[in-house]
Amino acid sequence: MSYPSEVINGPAMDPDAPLAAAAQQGDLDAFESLVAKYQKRMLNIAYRITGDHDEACEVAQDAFLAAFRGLAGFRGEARFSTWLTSITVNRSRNRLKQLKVRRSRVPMSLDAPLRTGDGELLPDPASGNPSVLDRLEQRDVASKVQGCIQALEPEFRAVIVLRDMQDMAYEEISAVLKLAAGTVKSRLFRARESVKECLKKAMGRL
Amino acid sequence: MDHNDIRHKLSEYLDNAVTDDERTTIEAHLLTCAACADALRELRQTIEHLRSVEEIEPPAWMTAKVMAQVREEAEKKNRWFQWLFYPLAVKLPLQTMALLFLTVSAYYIYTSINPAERYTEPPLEGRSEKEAPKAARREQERRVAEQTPAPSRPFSQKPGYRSLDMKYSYEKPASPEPAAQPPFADGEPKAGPAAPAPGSGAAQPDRRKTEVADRPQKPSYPTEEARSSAPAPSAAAEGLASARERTALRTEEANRQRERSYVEFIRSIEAFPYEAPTEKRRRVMGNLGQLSLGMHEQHVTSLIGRPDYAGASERLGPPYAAEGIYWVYVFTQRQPKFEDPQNDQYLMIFFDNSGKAFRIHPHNLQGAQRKGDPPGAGR
Repeated sequence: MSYPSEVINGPAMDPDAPLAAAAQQGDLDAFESLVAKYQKRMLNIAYRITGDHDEACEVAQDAFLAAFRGLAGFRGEARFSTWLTSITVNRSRNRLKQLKVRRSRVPMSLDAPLRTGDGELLPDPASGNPSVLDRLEQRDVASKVQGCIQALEPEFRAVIVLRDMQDMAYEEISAVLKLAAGTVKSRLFRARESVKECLKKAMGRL
Repeated sequence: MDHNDIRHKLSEYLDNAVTDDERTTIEAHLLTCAACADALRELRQTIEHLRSVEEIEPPAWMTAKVMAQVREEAEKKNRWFQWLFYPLAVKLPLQTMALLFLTVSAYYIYTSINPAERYTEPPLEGRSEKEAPKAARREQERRVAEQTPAPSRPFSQKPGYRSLDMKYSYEKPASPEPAAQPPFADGEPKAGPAAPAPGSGAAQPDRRKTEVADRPQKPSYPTEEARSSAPAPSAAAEGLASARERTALRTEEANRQRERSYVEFIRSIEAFPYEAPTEKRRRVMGNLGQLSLGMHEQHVTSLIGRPDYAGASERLGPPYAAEGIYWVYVFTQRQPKFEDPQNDQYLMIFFDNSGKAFRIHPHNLQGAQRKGDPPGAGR
């Protein structure tokens, strides 16, 4: 049975409601519990969207700090985790934009692959460039997957990360990204197709 | 649902996000369509791969670092709140001091404004008429200006009125140097240093005469004060009675004088086409021949008076470089906005940055000769 979205994402079903309320009152330990609980998830979301480990750490910290500052305005209309994820996705996307601008200013040579913070190879998002995909083949599956995700446009990255890497329900994804259900579904479809094609090329066969 | 629709639904099918009817249709189709079955398989595998990627672990210091920042934020907030709600004993004196400071500052600013500029007053010449409507008064002033070759009456002149009174430019035929002037202690206002104005000797005796003749008007000064729409500066009137203060006033206003801008000049003209008063024309044209290159601004002023407006040369654009300032004396101007080169008559004088004339440029003035290089030449 599936509950309507307002119920799933609403305060009635928010397991974090007591902690969030306490934090709002100024209980810093309550907030710390929330940080500990969600830091892995937020970090991974940030990592998959920005593609850079160090940047992801910063984004995650910023997101928590922003959440703390915004606690006063958090009225519990959505679940705390939904709200927090929303903040994280937005910041990740913004950071990604900045990173892209920075990188585009550096003249790129195909012989010098761009390295992210943890040595990942970032393929040129605009490429179907065979030499880039060649390099992908040398990697293991995880890196290939990461590479293919990085090849996606930001809005497609967000849906696929939330769905296939964080196992979020459609309704919650809808609430986090503030998109209609239909949009979420169609974006997810296209994102998966893109990754599929990219992986096929990188792996020879799935 | 056709083939394409089914393909598009495969993603949702895998997520169990299709209706029962849809599921039936899709599964039936998959049994018959190898391509779609393949596509489904590939999609499933892709999702498997995606799911297989392990999450990265957050660094051990992350929570601590976040909380450190959070605590700092909380600290800041508290401090701010406390400051707002300081015990009354501390707040009241602070607020009183702040208020005092503001009051004192306001007072200082007020007193530092040149007293003469605080008020505006019509010049003395217009005072023979009482309670005249403003337009008529201006008209009167203009008439008087034409009849009375502009004597300098510093003790009656209120600088604040300068910008409105076009005639004002003729109030100061002499240079603004007060030091060389004999004081007014003898009661007779002088026209300013007669020495640096050798050529205007003829004009001066006239001035003196009219000055003396006009002096009886002085007693009416206080009544004229009442007519002023500005707050009556009776205190200023009494203060001006002393000759020394008059001198000081002239210096002040000269020192703080900025050249009138074209805009002000245009605003001061009541109707277009504009024709300069005869006296102005007579004076400028009469002394034009004596202007020479290298002459200083003050000398020029003593000969032909202050300009109608002035500006920085660079404002004129190419070919004028930033070579100082220019003065303009207007004789005729047809329209306020657009210059009518064919018919407008004016005199332009360019001064370099040390105040010396390097170009004298009469325009459409009969018999007047240009002096100095044309702009852009010889640079």
